[in-house]
Amino acid sequence: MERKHRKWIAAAGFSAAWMLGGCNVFEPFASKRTSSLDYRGLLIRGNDALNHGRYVEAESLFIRAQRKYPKGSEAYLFHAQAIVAEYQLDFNKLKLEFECRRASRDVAKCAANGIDTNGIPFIHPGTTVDSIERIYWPVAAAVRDLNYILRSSKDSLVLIGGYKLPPDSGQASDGRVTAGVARLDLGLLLAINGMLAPLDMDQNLHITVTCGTNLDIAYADSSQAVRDSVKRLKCGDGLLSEQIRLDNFKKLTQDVHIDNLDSKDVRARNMSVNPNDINAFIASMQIPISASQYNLDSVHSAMVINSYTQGQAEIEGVIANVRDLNNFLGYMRYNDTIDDDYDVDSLNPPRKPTAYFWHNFDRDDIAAGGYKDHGIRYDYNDPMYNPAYPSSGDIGHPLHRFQHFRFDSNPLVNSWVSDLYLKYSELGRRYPGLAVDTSKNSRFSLMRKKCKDMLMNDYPPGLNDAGHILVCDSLTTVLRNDAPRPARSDWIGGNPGVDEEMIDEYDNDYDGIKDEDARNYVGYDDDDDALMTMSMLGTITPANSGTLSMIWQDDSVGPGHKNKCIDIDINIPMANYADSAFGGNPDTTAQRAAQRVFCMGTLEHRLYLARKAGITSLNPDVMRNPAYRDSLRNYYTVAGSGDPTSSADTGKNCMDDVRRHLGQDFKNRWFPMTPDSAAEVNLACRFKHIWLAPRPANSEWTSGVYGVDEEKYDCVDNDGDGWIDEDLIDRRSGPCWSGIP
Amino acid sequence: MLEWDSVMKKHRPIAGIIAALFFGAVSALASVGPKYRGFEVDGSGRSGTASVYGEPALFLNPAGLSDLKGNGFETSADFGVNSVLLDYASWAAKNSKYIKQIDSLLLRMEPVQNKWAPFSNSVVMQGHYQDFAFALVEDVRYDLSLSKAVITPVMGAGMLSDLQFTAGRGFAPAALPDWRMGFAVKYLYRLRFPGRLMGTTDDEFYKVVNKINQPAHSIMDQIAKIKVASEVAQPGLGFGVNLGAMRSLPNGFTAGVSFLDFHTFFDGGFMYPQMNLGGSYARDFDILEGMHHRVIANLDWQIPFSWEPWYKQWKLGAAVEGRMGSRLVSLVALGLNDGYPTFALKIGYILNLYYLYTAEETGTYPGQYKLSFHKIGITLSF
Repeated sequence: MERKHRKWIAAAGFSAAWMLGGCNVFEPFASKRTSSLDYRGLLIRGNDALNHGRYVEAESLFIRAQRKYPKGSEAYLFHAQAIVAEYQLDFNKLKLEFECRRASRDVAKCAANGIDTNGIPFIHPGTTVDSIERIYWPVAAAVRDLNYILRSSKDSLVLIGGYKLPPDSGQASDGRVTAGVARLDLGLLLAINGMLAPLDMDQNLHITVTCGTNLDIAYADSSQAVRDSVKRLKCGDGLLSEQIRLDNFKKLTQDVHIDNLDSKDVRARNMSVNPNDINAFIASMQIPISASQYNLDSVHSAMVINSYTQGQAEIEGVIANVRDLNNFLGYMRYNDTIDDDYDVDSLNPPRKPTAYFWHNFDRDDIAAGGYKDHGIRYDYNDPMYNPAYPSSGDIGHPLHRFQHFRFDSNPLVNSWVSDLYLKYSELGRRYPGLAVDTSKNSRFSLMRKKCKDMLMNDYPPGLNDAGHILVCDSLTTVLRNDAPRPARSDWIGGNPGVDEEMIDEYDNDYDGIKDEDARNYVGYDDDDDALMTMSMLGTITPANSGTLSMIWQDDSVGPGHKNKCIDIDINIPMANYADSAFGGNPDTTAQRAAQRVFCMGTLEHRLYLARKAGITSLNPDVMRNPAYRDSLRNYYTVAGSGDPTSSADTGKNCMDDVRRHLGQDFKNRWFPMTPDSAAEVNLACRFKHIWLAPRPANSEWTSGVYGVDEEKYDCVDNDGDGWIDEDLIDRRSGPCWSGIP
Repeated sequence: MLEWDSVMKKHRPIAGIIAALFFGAVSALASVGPKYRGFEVDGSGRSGTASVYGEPALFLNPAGLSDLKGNGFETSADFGVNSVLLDYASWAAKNSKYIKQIDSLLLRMEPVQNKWAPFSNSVVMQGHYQDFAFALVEDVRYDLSLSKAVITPVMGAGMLSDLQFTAGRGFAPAALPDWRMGFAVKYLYRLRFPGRLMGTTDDEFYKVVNKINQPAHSIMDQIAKIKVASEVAQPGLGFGVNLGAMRSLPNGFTAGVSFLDFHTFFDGGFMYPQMNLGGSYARDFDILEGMHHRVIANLDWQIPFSWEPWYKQWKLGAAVEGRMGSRLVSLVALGLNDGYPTFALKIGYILNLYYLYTAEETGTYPGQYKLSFHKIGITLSF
């Protein structure tokens, strides 16, 4: 070869090597510098990190891939995998959390895995914000990722319960990951997401002790006032709102058995002490739970069609729990003039339903027996009514149903019939969904169970025989559409079954669920604390119900009484209040601490009376003058069912109110003054906040029925029942809710 | 020079039509063309646009057919294995009965979790008469994976099976003494199921699961289950053209260009055309009596008209081959295919054994590590 050709060859070889090197031929695809990786390179590099346990790095790479190519479904799936792997969440752990809440659980296995058998999955007494965050964050993030893959439809997705998932922007729609891949996992994770979502009050997918800090960023373009109001709305208890919500949530759910749902242990106050929050609370759970049910049902159907029996069996337990929870939550929605719990006979002819208008006239009226039964008396003139069993006249009560159940021997009928109540077969025809649900937590099952439990536990032999039990299995608690409304009845108007419950933590209609489909309307005693009497029976109609509303005006006369509670006597200076409470020469701080001591219904007042005279007056002579009544029994409703002088039964919420709602300054001054504060609290809590005494002449209460629409829109528990702004229609502008965007 | 100019003027309209067709096709793309290039090309990093010779030229540059003399026929078959495939077969022998139990499967799937097991095989019959050649090739690649969606198991499957009949001819234009040209036409029957994960609301998921759950009596039965994607694959038909040209340069250098699948109509659309530009250097030497040896070095650049960046498509290869007469009796090849190493060895007379090593890192799923493929085959040639 000639010399010059060799030079050319050498030059060509060098050029080729240089070119190849510069063009990364010798650098494998996934080894390229991360800063210049394209979408697929980011996936490969991310997966390499995922395979080697570098989860945080993997998450970062997948997020970059999502940004680089938003339609790439793999980036979302792999990101979900990485984050779930980082927090060591897996199917068997999740499934075990559900299994351990069922009666069929392996107790030893649950104990070995440190899983509680009460409450709902992942929530147990020892749960902390940090520990629940380690569950919630990966679940919520994975749900978000999977939703990007699944929800590429341009149509809204209508979920069970009427909720709609709006269409998304079509992200992650490249089809590399099918819906079939994501759906089962999304369904399972949504179930957890839904159960924990109410804890994420600022909706940043985290449960932390810094509630609302994300809102500063989200509302950066808004004014400080708007930011503050949004924060107050979402994180009403400040930075620790989610911590406080978790503590309450644990109490709310500690006695809930997801395998055996009924509401006897659900205390709505633990969702929120503001009933106006309840629908939002329920929605935050039910939207993901509904979506979970939708996805799991889709998977289950596919498994059935393809005879995938073992897979079916493994998820059926979870599906049943999710379905039950979804139904249950749906029943709990309130104040929407909708029959949320399917207990209205069809309206014929069709017409707009109206709320079930009723008052509990005989609850505290001594003249009427003061039965405190919280039910809806059907007919005070019913000749079959037996006073020995006060509730037996209530609508839906098993004994009332029994009284209206007979065998019709007419050959054309020849079966058991009721003139008042629908049979299960009849209600099933109205709502086919109820008829086909034969699970033990179905609407019908709970109704039957409640009936039998009452008969077996509350009534003597003779009232729980086969004939009575037959009623439980035959008749629902639902009134027939043509059932007449008696002239003397707790039922005053409206459609039975529409927003029929009071928020009073009682099962007013005996259907096995309490506080479901509850109400909050003008002129109603919505929280079962109004001083209704039999003398009002027949005088109240839906049309004039507004006249019942309690009228009171804070700080109506004297200065210092603007204390957001109903002062008993506005002529007494606040200094005197404080002096009576704490003694000495009270300064303004002490006056402020004592400002609720002489308000109607307040816990402070009950504590004062408990200390002053206890249950019965110390001075009977003084008692003759109502102005000097000084004992609990003279003012307040007995909380328990027994004699408060001998029974230590307390109101179920009262002890909680002492801990949570009493002013700290008051507590600091009040309790050190007695050697046995526990006994004093117990004494005070044997009585409820419901005022029974006549209207004091100089009080801020000027007219209306005590307990009807008694609150003001001020985010304060005006009447001392532990709730704020309850018995009001809805949120409206005011000191508490102003500036809501 | 004048001669070249006159030729160019004569063929300029044809070149224009070709260019229009080429770029027109790019705008209506549908599928990637057949991957089969032949053992020799694969061993050299899939390079050889300027040096491929004989029947393999049908698949890379038909101009390589032009020097064929006499006649010949050969048939070969091979199959590829790798460690993941064997891991899967071994795992499936013990655990396939748990495939329908979510929790049991999750407890046992760790050894193979998220790994994609590939299986490939090809069967070739090819021959030539003078500079006319044909080939009937079945080239199949299956993939199977047991993966996780996020927390539950899902199946992954993929398949690409190309059955193609190709015939072509090379020629050397008298007017262009340094040039060789060629063309090939092909008929393609393709079964495909793009590799993807499948979950419990996908019909394909159940077909795959049921197949894997079937009893197996040997490790080959287990390997056969990997072909499950064929039960869900969709068929497609196509036909098209490969074109190519080579030009000899001084001192053993050659330049080549080929247009593959240019056009190939497939399933109502076009396949991605592929253009290869290559250079090669070849030098003959004789060290054994009765044998002719040749060392070949190739550098190719491929324009796939697909998503891959242009700078990733470099192919580099070198081979030493030995022939007795026109019969290839030994071959050692090395290469870099887009940066990934290849190696091939072939030896025999009439009956040849060959071994091919390739690697890839194109998978995207978690656990899809860099894969090494070992392909072993046998060729009978006359």
